Amino acid sequence: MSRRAVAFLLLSGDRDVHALVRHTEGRERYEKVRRIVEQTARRHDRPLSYVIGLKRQEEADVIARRVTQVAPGRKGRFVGVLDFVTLFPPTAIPLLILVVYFGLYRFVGVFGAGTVVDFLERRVFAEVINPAVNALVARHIGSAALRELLAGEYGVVTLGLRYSVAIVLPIVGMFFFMFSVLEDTGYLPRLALMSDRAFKLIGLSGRAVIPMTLGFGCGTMATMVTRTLETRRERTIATLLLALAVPCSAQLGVILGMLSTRPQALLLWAGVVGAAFVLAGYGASRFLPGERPVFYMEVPPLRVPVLSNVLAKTLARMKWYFVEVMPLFVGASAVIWIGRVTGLFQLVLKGLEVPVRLVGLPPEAAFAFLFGFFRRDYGAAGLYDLARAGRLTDAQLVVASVTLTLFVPCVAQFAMMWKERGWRSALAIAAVALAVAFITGYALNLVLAGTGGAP
Amino acid sequence: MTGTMTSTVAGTVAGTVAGTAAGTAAGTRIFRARRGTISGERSMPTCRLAALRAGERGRVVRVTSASAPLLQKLLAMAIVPGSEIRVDLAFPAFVFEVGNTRVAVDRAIAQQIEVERIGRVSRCCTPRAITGDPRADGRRGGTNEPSL
Repeated sequence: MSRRAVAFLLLSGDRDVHALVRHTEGRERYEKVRRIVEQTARRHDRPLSYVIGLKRQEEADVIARRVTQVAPGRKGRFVGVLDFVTLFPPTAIPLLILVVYFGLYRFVGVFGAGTVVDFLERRVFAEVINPAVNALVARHIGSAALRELLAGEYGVVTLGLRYSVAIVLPIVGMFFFMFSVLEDTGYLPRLALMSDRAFKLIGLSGRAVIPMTLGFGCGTMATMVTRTLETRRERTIATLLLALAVPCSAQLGVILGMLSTRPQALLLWAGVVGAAFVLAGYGASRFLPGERPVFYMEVPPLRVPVLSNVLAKTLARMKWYFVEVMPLFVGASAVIWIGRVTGLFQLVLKGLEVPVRLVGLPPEAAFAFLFGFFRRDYGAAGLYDLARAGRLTDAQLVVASVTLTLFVPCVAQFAMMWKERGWRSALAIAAVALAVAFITGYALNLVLAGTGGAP
Repeated sequence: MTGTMTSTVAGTVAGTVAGTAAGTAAGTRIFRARRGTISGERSMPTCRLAALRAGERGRVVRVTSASAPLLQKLLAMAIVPGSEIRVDLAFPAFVFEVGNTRVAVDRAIAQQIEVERIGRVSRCCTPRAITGDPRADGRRGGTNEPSL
């Protein structure tokens, strides 16, 4: 490194270089250098790194002007109109809703989470892979405990792999595809700037629109994407909201299926979960220390997406999903195995029955809650079975759906929270979600009972 | 754009560091900053970017933020003293063109960018002159031209 470069880094306050110079030049000489840096900084009212950057920018402009020629810009009429439509709020907001409806709900939700998942799960896993694995394990493995680890209802292959490959992968794959298309068109920053004001109310900036939308696909993946947020405070708030009040596609599917024949119940569920989202965000933004979020973003021009770009990005993300998220699902089924073999689950189940009774549900619902933690949709499916067996009234069904949605996210998401935010934050967020879930359930149960039951 | 030069600041340190290291002074003249100011900043009637409406143009005079990370980010997007900007949208966020890029910032940042207006407001009905936030005026202090 040239001396000049070292000098600039010293002036910019680069810690590594300061440490290096102190080490190589000795304390006395370093003190001299430090004094000079300080004196220089005092002569400017802005950080030296900024002053240097500005000067550099100025020089770059001079060079750029010398060597470039600007051709008169030509803007297509269509692009101009599209540009206007995606930025002007009265047209941009309906467009946003259309994009979310068709892109997310119809394509990812109905086609991905419905059609493709049905095929992979019912045809491929349930009819081909699982029976084969079960048969293989039954033939070659003597120990019943080991057999259960690999196969059976909660096995690493039959549950962990099936869950991550047949259910979550198609959903996130579709989602990644849609997301890459939107990304390639340059629409996402517009989405972010349109929603910035709304997100500011809950302590986030418009950038959070990306992880929050992803959360409706897979909360685990969304929790990881909170990395893109600027400050630790924003990342914490986003992680909390994803854990608490953003139902993932798997859960959403079952809850919609369960409540769709009861529109009032569905509305009530959506209203309560939505209110919990806003209140929790608002509360967190009030009580968490740290600076308020700022929003800035480059807004690229709109472009026609290039298929090769879209595919490359989708594939890269799916690869990432395989490497980072799938092990968490496989790990989850191993945890279920340990819980079942050691009898720990029976204990937890007994403990859970207390709050479950408190919110006015039959004790059997505790099972749905516990397994809901390992498979978010499984919890909802457990309730579905209870409802079909006539064990739940409509009011109880709403209370259960709300409580389950707000309840601690699935074990994979919890592991990702732990990994991204650290154990302290992960446990604190889980505790908040648990408390909010049951308190809300309790209150809702009281209100519904008071107003005469069925919504 | 060119400020007057009173000292070659980096030269001093670069020279000193070089001197400490091996005894040669490598004076550099990358810096030409007037004491306490940054070239491009000048004392003319200015207002905040947040006061501009869609369709208006201005020249950045100064970024008043004290936050080094924010200053660096704005610098990276070429929002520096001297850059010309044109506001496309004032609500829900400030969207403006600077050079060949288009940038969106929130109101808090737009309050920290001092600009001088260029020309008169064009109030024609091009897609550029989209909504000015009606609340944008009058809420800020320190502007010399509250409205045009």
